[in-house]
Amino acid sequence: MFGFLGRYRAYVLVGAMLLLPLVLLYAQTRSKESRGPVVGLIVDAAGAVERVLLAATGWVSDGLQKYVTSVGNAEELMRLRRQTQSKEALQARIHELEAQNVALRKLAQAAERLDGPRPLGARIIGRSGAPLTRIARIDRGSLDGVKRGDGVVTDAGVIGRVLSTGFFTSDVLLISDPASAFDVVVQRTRARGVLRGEGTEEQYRAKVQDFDRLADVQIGDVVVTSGLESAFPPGVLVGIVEDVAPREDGLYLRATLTPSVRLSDVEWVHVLVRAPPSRPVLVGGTGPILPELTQYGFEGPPRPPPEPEPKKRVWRPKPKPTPAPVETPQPAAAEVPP
Amino acid sequence: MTRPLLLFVVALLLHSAQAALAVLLGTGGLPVAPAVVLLAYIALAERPVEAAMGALLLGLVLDALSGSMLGVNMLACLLALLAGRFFSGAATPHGGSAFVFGAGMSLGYHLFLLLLLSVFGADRESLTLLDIVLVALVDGALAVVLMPVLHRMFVALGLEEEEHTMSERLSSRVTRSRSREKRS
Repeated sequence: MFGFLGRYRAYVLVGAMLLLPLVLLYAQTRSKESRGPVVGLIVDAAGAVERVLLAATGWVSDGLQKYVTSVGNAEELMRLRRQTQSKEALQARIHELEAQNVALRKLAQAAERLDGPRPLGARIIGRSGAPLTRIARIDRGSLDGVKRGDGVVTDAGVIGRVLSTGFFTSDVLLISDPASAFDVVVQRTRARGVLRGEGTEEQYRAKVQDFDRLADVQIGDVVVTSGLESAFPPGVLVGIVEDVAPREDGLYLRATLTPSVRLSDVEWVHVLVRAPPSRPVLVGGTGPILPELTQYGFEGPPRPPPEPEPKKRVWRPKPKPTPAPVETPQPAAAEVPP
Repeated sequence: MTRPLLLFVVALLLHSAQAALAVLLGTGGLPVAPAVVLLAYIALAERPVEAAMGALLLGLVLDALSGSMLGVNMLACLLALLAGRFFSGAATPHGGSAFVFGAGMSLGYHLFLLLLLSVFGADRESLTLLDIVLVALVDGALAVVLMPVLHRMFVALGLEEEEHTMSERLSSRVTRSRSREKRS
């Protein structure tokens, strides 16, 4: 037996390796809740590298700009140029900050309107999976309370759903991915269907294949989440109906949607988490502030004044009822004759 | 075992760089799969057991970062590796040969993947053959750049011999042994 194994060791090992993915696939048909800790670790590692790369590219472009501005002949010319450039840069920065401020305000307002899950701000740090899948990677993970299946939205509407989580990073399956599916309704007529992705490289699209044939669905109708699933509250914008046609079997209508969010341009999102975070949260929500920021005077969102502590009730023995003092007749004062 | 692990790390780095680049460029995702180029390199240069181990690890990276069912990419990588081994004797990791072999491996891998996804019930009807061909061409171009760099890296780390492919190594071993015999 061992001689046979030793002789054909390579074949046996390669055969075992071929079996391993099949076992994994079978295991996933039994339990679809999680993709395993190894996937989380890989997603975390990729997220860390992406953050470093994004930071490095920013640093390099800043350095190049500094170098270009510092090389010159005439000091005076440089001074004037610097002044002008700094003014322009400042103006551009102000515009950028204003735009960011407006976008973040919108996002915050959109999040305030949502009931149910707690919105958690996140930044998109990577996009991958093309051409087979549409994945966006965000900088929030299970330590922030993000779980597989949590909904992801922006102020403009639904983005997708969390597919796998690492400790610090998560992957979001976009609504344009063919594997994405969730319950939606047409806002005007309340016609219900399941939205599936139909993304291509050029276009982000989605479709609903199972609208009832008798339902009233027209081009231009607004489609929103139904609220049947816990990931999204009801009424969040999903997209606009672009085309309606009966399916081949004639029983259902098939509608093609244009998602309300242009998915390739999104930078900031909200994750609708259903679990409390296990670490301090800065963006979104009213969690505690990171301690290192408080030393710079950052106090965070205004908090309600502390309620006065209720007075502690201390047990005291009841005073025994004392018998009413018996009024003793005062001896009449001796009448003094005038 | 060191080389497959190293290739695993390189694949992770390349895929992260690709994802970050997609964000910087403002696109939905770049049509390239660097791990498949590494798979092509494995098919050219590794021994059978190490090659299978490397293919499994690369498949794990693709599974984790592409969001598909865990195991599908691993199986597709292994099948593509087995298919690629038939043609590896005629290829080298340089120039046009690297381009053709890289593109072919990418095409094979994506076709196997589509087949497996259809077997396991995943709906990928939006993916066209044109998408796959585009990715294969980009992967082929990446192979021209990446394969010589990988080879030099492994040689510099002392993990690989100077010869480029298994067939070259085997032939050089044969000539070495013959020369030893002659000397003796």
